[in-house]
Amino acid sequence: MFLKEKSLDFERTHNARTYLMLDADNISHNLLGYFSLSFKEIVIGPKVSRTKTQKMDGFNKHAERIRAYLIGQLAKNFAIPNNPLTINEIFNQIYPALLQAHESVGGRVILLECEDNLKLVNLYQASWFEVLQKQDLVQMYRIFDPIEVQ
Amino acid sequence: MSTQSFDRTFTVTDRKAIKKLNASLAAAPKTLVRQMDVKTESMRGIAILKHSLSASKTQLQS
Repeated sequence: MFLKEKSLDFERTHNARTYLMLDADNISHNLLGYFSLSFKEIVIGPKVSRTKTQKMDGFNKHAERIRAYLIGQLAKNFAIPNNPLTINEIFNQIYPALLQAHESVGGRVILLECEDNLKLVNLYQASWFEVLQKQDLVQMYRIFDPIEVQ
Repeated sequence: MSTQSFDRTFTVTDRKAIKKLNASLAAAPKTLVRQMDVKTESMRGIAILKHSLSASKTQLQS
């Protein structure tokens, strides 16, 4: 639904970038998955003391916001039988795109939201994401301190 | 995943959540990022997509 109905608008309005993961060897069923990236701020609510905010931001004692990347969409195409795409491979595609943004404009945290489903939460936790808080969805984060490897 | 995430403000007020995030920021493990030329990959992807779409168009016409 997102891919057909929203991704182009998000692209045109520069609200998010959507990346398709394609299988070059399979012409007819080559969309293995996709993800969409955008950016956000984590707003530290009024209950937090200045000292804590200072520690969290690490630099500016008046900061009440932390720059973050948002993985707004992350999907595997289950219509393809034996789709080889793994969650690790998806993140291996996401991180280089975020690295470009990181080098250009900074940013410290990656955010995503998922349904409150233990299997799903465990899947992301296995990829080093942690639960931040639960609202209608589970908000998860990972600190992005990138190092490029071969 | 929900498209609401794009519009949502991520506000954290829960002290435990703040503390946890704080601890993570203080001792963050490195994120290993595979070396990749994103622009080149993007162009390669567009070529694959064009090829795939033209193949499916040909199939529809025949």
